[in-house]
Amino acid sequence: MKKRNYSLIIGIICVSIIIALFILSFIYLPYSVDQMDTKNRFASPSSSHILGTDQFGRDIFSRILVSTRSALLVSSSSVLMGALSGLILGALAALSPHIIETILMRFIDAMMAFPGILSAMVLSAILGKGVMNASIAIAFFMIPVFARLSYSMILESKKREYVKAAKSYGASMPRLVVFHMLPEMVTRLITQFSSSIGAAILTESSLSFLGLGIQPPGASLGLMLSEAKGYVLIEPYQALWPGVVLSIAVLGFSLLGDGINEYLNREVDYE
Amino acid sequence: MILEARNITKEYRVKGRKEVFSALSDVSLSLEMGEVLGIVGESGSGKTTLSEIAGGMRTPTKGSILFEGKDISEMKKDERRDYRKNVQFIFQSPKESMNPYFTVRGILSEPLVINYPDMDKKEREERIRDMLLRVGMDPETTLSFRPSHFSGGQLQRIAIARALLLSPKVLICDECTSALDVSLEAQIVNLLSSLKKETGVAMIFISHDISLVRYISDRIMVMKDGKVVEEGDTEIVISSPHNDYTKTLIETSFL
Amino acid sequence: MSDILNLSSLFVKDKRRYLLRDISFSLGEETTLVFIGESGSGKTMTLKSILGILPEDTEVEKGSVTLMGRDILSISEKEKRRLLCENVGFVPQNTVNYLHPLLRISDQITDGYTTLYGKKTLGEAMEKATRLLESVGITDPERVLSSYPSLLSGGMKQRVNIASALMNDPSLLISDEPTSALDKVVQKQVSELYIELKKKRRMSLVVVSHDIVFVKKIADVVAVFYAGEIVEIGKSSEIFSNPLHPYTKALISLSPSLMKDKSKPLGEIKGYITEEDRRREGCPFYSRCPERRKECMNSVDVRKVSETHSVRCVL
Repeated sequence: MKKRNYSLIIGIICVSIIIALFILSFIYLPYSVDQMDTKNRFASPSSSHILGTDQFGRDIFSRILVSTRSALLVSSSSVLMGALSGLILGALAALSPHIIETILMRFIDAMMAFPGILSAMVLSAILGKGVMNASIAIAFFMIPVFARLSYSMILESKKREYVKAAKSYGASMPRLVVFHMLPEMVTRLITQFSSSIGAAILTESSLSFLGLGIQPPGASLGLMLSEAKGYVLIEPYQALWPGVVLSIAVLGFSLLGDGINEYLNREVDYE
Repeated sequence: MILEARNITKEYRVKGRKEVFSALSDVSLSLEMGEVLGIVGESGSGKTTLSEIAGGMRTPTKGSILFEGKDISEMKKDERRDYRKNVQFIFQSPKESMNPYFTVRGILSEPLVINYPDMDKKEREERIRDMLLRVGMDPETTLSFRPSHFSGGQLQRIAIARALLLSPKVLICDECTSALDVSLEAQIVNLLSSLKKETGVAMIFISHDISLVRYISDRIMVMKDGKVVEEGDTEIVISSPHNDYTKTLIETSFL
Repeated sequence: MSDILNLSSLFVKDKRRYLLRDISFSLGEETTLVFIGESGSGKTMTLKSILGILPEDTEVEKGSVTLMGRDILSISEKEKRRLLCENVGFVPQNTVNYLHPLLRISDQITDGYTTLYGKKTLGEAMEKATRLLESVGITDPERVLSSYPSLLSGGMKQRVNIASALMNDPSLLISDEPTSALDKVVQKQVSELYIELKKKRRMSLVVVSHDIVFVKKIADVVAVFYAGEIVEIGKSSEIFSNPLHPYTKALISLSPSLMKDKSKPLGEIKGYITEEDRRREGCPFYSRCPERRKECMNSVDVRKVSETHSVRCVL
């Protein structure tokens, strides 16, 4: 019996929703992010404000659209940075002599020991507030995850007989890594990448929620939640919508990661 | 003497324990031009470790390797490269010794691209096709497929082609038939013998099956627990073994 | 019926092709039946259909598997388990991975027994395990029982596997390549153990092997598999002294031996099994057969040579 890959299906649907919102933010933005309509504060959903307005009378839908920009851009750029440096670090550790390997890996362990959000907060505090610094902070906490991954994958690949064979006919180290180890790693990297984006979106929102990420009057899901938290009892919609979008984004990318993993492994099993 | 290993000792430190485990203790090996040396022993006897040390894939704890009379640890970069090229391996599992993401063309091009960077594409293709024919594979139905398309026996032929493309002087076959079925085992051993006659390549043929080793080897070396227990001309060792362990090995293959 | 096991024209297929075609044989009491053939020839698949553990994407198209007089393909999952648990012992191929590395031997070996007879019998089970370990040639069963698998050698592990397959006093022991992971010296000991077990415990064995020397030593009946079919089946003496199918002949002649003339190349079967061979209506060995004829392309019937010996070949 063929088992349906629900993770992949739901993941794709959720991610598509987020990407659709992201694209929509560039082609159709009903109001600008900071345009206030003071007469219409805490408005319920209506034809002029589909999702209502917040405490300053700003259009929630427009703010959500713009939030997806920061969510996607910050998360993907930070994961990209984190993944690249993590990969290089892990690869260096796996291919270096024992002493360097130990030093690098202990360093990575130490990085891993700090809770991600905490180190991101410390970094933001040192570097200052703002989008760029939030990205760097998130990237920093992605490093150990990817370093560990590439380290273990290269150690595994090193034992492969085809890597041994390539070594025996004289392949150089860079060649071994690029041609003989990387292809095997790609599937797991894609999986990790997708799940990490989910985590990064959550971290970005958390930082913004705490006031360390996107600064007002800019829009971020975390910031919107933070602003809404004071009015939850009077105006629950204001917290509901960013919450829903955030859940869809995080869930979507995590499920997509799982789904891709399942899909690719099934392919391999079949052979 | 083309390849020589002198007084090789290989020790491993077991993690978390003080004592060292010696995989090889004071083992020597010599291989003449065009000779086939068979190494027989059970798993854990150190035969694979020895062959990998002789082939320069691992470094010994003690002892030295000489290729054409020269110690490999004193070789310059291009001499070392030459040694690498001249000592080729065929591994136990043909499936695992090929990169599953490459086509056969890619797999066979690699050694040439690395060792002859100046060779043009046309000549490379020609050499590959020629070599495939020699190991009994049809280039037309082989080159553009990935390893998963082939059976174990076919892959082992391709592996032999890959090793011989560099025209090595020494070929190290480590249990190269033990992953194959009996009918294919015979095919591969026959192929190796005939290639040896054609090219004069010297071989180290490693197996746990003494009756198989006998078919192809001029000289035989019996290993147990990291030591050589008996060594000599194949027929003499088999017809009048001195060591008890050799005797058991011969008896059990009659059962 | 005195047959322990009976398979009649069993066809198993997956999405693309038949994995087993027309497998029929019956196994009497105190008999060792050996399956020989190459990888992918259907030996293991046949064992799996006897044990009711066929892979997910395969299905039995027709035929029956009768164990102790009951058709295991038609009874419920629960009944099947009970039937197998009481009557069949299984010794796996991969001795190294079959034992759980983190559990003591004593816990693993008694598990099946206590499952069948209830937890109260643990003491009894330990006693029995000790006796069985002794009977498979382990001299210090107490030490083995209290140790973890990593402390045992390959031969020891295989003995433990055999002992644990015997825990429920099966009337049939099924064993998939019991010696392929073992060294020659241990192989010999295992073959002697199998012969002794059969005699002492009056049980039947089904053993898969591709080691001709091993087969010669232990088999009463030999079934030769090729590409999902039994091409020849008969008493061991009949198969080895009078092989009829060209594949059987080749298989017997080509295993290397210390007695053969070394100057001649080893006998070999040219070519490989191809997908086409598995799909062909006629003889699957056609493309590699040295004695092939035109009529081999059509469906080939089983020909009875004697009461016990039959062959699927036109010759």
